[in-house]
Amino acid sequence: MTRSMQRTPALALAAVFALSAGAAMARDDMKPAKPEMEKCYGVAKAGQNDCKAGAGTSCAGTSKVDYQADAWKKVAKGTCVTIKTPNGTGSLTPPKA
Amino acid sequence: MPELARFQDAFAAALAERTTAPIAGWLPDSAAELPGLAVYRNTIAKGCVDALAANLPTVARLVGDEWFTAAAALFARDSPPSSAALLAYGEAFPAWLEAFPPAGELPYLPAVAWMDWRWTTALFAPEAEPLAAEAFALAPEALAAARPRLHPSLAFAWFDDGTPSLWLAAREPDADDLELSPEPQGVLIVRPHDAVTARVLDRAGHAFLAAAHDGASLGEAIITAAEADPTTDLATLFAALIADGVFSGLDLGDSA
Repeated sequence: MTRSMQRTPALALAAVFALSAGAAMARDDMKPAKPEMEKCYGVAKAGQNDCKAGAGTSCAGTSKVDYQADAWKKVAKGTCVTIKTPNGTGSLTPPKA
Repeated sequence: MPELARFQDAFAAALAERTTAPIAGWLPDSAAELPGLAVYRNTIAKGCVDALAANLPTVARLVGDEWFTAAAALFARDSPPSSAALLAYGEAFPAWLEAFPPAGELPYLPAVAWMDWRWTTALFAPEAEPLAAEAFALAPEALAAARPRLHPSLAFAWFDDGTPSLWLAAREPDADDLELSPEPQGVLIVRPHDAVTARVLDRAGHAFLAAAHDGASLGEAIITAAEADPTTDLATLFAALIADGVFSGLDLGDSA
């Protein structure tokens, strides 16, 4: 620590005292740790998978799809098509070539 | 090697290589085609695709099910899982997406995939009790000299655009009107207790964590943060990181 503190003593002093101030601030702000939710391996919340067993371990659902014969020809239909980016709205179309 | 183990290895090879050659020795007619193997191949592919969709939910949501399923199936062939448990499957997906031409028009997608994957692995990271604010009630010099241990579930990174905000917004249940800002941003992902939390990190906050990750003392880290952004409120920055639960220990040393 001493090297950069020597380089800018005023900044370093202020920064170090900011640590103490921040710790005090955190003591005032922090509520007692509350158990938010049980970590659960059996019940999956949508979008927050907790469990990976189940689907795919049997033939269930496999009769309708063929993952082997997929020539690439997909157009993205998710929310990406409405995202505004610095280069305009996103789109995802099959390569022309 | 026992006969069963040899057969199982050969069977796995026959599935992966799409030929009956590896198991020819076990077949009554070694030249026979076995269309039934497609059932096994498809079941494996579906398991991989389902795991990827669960591990990378924001990517799936952004591109839609059809696109994601097809891309994930291609990825699973290129980069099959290396362990039977698929909890953390998909580590290589961000890099794979970068080299996947159809994703070229969504340059943020690999970063989104990376954040999804880190979110998922934070969920399964080792448990550790985050330090309470009281643990930092030390004399200023002792606090500055202390070296923090970062929480085992912590992940953070810096991006050259606003993908972290985009990712966070896209994970909301009613995500709409999403926008990618050109402003660089960082992200912080941690699971201090039972739930993963994530937030945007500013330049100073990222500089602090990067320094701490490299073994800096709190004093060195806070100075690095001040240098990264002289306008930042350092006390608030440090208080926020304590409240996030990113610290799991403090090595006081004896020179303090």
